[in-house]
Amino acid sequence: MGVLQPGYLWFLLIGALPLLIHLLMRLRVRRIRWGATYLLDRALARLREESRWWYYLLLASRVLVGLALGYAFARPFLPSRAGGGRLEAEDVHYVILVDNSYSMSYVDNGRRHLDQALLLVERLAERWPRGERFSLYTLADGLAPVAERQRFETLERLRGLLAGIRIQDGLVDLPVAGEQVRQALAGETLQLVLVADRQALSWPRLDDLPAAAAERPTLWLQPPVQAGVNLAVVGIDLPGQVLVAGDLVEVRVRVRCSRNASEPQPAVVELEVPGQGRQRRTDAVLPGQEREMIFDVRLEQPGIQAMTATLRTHDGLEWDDRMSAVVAVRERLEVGVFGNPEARAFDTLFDYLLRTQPQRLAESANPLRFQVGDWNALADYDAIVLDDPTGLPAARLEALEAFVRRGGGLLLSSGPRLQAGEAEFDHPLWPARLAATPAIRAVGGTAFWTPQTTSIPPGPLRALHTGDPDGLAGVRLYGYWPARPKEGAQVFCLLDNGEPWIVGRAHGFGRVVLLTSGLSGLWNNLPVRSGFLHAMHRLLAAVVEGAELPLNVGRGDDILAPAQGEVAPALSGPLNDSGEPTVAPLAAGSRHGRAVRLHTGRLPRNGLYAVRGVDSGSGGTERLVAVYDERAESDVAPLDEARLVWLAEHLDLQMVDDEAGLLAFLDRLAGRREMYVALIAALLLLLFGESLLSWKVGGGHRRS
Amino acid sequence: MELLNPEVRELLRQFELQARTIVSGLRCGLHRSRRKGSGADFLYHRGYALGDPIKHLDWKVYGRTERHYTKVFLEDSSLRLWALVDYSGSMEAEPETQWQAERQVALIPKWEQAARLGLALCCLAINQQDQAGLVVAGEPLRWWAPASSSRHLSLLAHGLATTSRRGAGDLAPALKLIEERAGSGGSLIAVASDLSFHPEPVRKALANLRARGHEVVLFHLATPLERGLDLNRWVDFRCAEAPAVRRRVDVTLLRELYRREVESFVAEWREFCNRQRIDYVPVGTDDGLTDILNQYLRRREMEG
Repeated sequence: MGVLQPGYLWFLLIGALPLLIHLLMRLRVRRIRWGATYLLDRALARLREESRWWYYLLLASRVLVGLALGYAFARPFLPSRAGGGRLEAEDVHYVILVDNSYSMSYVDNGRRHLDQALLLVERLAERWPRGERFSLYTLADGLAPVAERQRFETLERLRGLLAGIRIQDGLVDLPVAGEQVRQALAGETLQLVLVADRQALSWPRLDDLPAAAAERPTLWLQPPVQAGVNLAVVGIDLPGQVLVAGDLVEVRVRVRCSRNASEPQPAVVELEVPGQGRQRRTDAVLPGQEREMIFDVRLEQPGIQAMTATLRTHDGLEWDDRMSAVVAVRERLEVGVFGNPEARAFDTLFDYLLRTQPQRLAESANPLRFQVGDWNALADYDAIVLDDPTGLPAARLEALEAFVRRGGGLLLSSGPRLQAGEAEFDHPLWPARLAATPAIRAVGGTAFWTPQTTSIPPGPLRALHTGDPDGLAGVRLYGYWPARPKEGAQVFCLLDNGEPWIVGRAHGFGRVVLLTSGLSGLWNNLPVRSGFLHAMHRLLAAVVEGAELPLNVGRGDDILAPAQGEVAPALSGPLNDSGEPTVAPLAAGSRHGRAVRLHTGRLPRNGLYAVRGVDSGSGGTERLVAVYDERAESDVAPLDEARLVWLAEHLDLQMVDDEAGLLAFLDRLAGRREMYVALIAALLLLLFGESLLSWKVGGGHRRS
Repeated sequence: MELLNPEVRELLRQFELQARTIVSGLRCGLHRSRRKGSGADFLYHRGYALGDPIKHLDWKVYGRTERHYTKVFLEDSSLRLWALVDYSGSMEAEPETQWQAERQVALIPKWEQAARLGLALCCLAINQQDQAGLVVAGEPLRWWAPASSSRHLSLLAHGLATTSRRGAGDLAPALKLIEERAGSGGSLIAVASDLSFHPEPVRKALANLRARGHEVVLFHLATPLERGLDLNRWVDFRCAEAPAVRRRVDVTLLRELYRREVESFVAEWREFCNRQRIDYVPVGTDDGLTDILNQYLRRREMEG
């Protein structure tokens, strides 16, 4: 127990007032010559027998009334065990840490959490004395000062500062931020207030925080943790770059059960995709564990789509826990095919498939458009098929490397035309180092190699494949280049002799997949197998998987794009189905070091935009930005009671449910709640004492 | 100081103090006695004896029986009134002047009320040719033997006015004195006291008086303050009989207990008086003497 106004503790002397009055009254007695002493003695004897201690009880209650009044004026408060909440009126430096990460863009009751947080800061600042020092930091992009060691003058000025706080991409690192604040403001008496949501507090590293320090921040949670909710949607995982219409993708919704649940919790998750209705999955989640629920979703329509996972109870009631994922769906992937000019089997095979299976391809809403590659238009392709290259000039290799580094996908095959010692033979772009000589057997003979194990990730057209799940059954290989995967490479398929056949590796923002036996059919029968087309789709999906996902931003958020020299990045879009911008590029905003801030609030409409920036390495970068009105996210992790207790004990955690709760909390910070309690106690004591008196002596007395 | 004003004297002329018991006064009077003589109440016939007054012969009986019978009457006797006035120190306690000022009342002290009451009864008795005696219970104990002259009344008034009030308020010696002087039966003993003493000796003496056939009237005097302890805060009570005895107490806490004690005390006395067939008359110093006498004497007349 502490007090805000120690100077008012002298009020405790009020407690001595009844004693003083008692003594004074004994001194200032009225002297009467009394004639009925016999009766008086009888009454006094009765008083001594039964009522004397009542008198002292009454006196004690009056003393307590005085003590309670004095204590109330001293404005007591109850600090936590961690010692937080030191609120001495003198020399307090108010420090506000605002979580402006993406999770704060969650819309609750019609307002974003960030707006609610800023409103909370305003409400808090309303109670600051004029001239008090304050600092304001944001947390999303590290500890960023908005105002540092300023004197609080007017609320309007603070509102101006708050208006500049925007949602930013990044993680809130509370331990680091706390340490930075403590180091920056060492030696000062701080009242740290963190306005954050549950996501910030769910971060595991929070457990690494050292135990209580005197200046441990006071944490406000917004929104509150709802009692009784043991499940939460903690993630919607999309398989790589899901940007192609017609893709049948696996959407994995992760549901976590809190640790304080006593039994497995039945979870019913509905995934709603625009134009496709809802799908429902049911599973039981063990306490403290996560479960993935897999939904097969075909992304039919190009454009911006928001799929929402909603958690429901087993009886159909909807919990207030949902997560939305915004994805940009392009019409198709553009694939440039650089085949072997000497063996046209590859292109012919496609012609054959397109002629013989048009209905199945149409049903699949074929998301791939193959076209003969053009070395001068690499930027138009999402992926490139490069079959059995030979004699590639250095300029083309360099263009290929830049294409992949910027996010393109490369499906590469090494066939009989490849010669050891050529420039491309051991290029850094390749995911594996090839042996000097290939392994060859007689084509069409009885000795061959077959794919043994595959781990090709699921991709487009998976539903078309009805036979072999991998589409590679019956494939025979008569020649291949023995390869040793490089560091970071992933082997998608092994041959029966244990040698890798399909190897992939990320390079820059893109990915390269290498088939060590070629695609032309000279060393294998792969092109004539029924699963070839499916395998091609899945491999192409694998090569574009590593590409960077479009950045999902809410309307009005800022985008930081790299910039160099006088060349400013540009925001173009919205892109049409062909990827061409439909409106003129948007001029860049303010410059921050080597980046330029682009404000999406000025965009004419929502959609998919391309940010083209300047990079010293490649000469230019492009990133897709999906601008959407509303970006809703579920809280990352449910906070169970045990964790809340832990946080409350170690971090002086304060829960604020709503505005009324905030006001009550501010009152508590100001020591008012305890003051009210003390005043009420004083009143009750007074009533108790007086009622005791009137009950005991009966009916009070007429004052003269 | 004039204890009896003309208004009271005039009132007393309207009443008659009739003894309820058989009296045995020395002179003829208004009250029944055990003596046979020339009263108005016929008792019986007896044979004529030499020396009997001829006027008591019943000639009608002689006419019928030719024998001489004498009518025997109960003789009406005079009443002897003993007024016992408590003149102890407790009666001296003056009414609280501040208390009176706050309530805008004027009170007389208990001793004065008692003196007026006793003297009024004596006056009433003397007015009807009865004898009135007076005992002043104080230090020292003073007494005047019953007499019926108006001069005696003046003497009693002078005695009451000139006697100081002091000493403990034990009435037992005074009652003992009355018992000795009044003999057996026939007297009316009026006691005016605040009863601020241990009651047992006095009750015993009163019971003795009743056992001897005396009629006893007990006037219990109390001031309004003593009845209700209508005070506030701390009070230093100084005993009027022994100034060294002091009681310092918070009246707000004591008041209710005190009132209950007063009620209990009065109830005890009332119950004792009922048992002994003693008239118990509570008298306040704020009551007017005429009202007290008027009520009491009328009630006495009605009850016969």
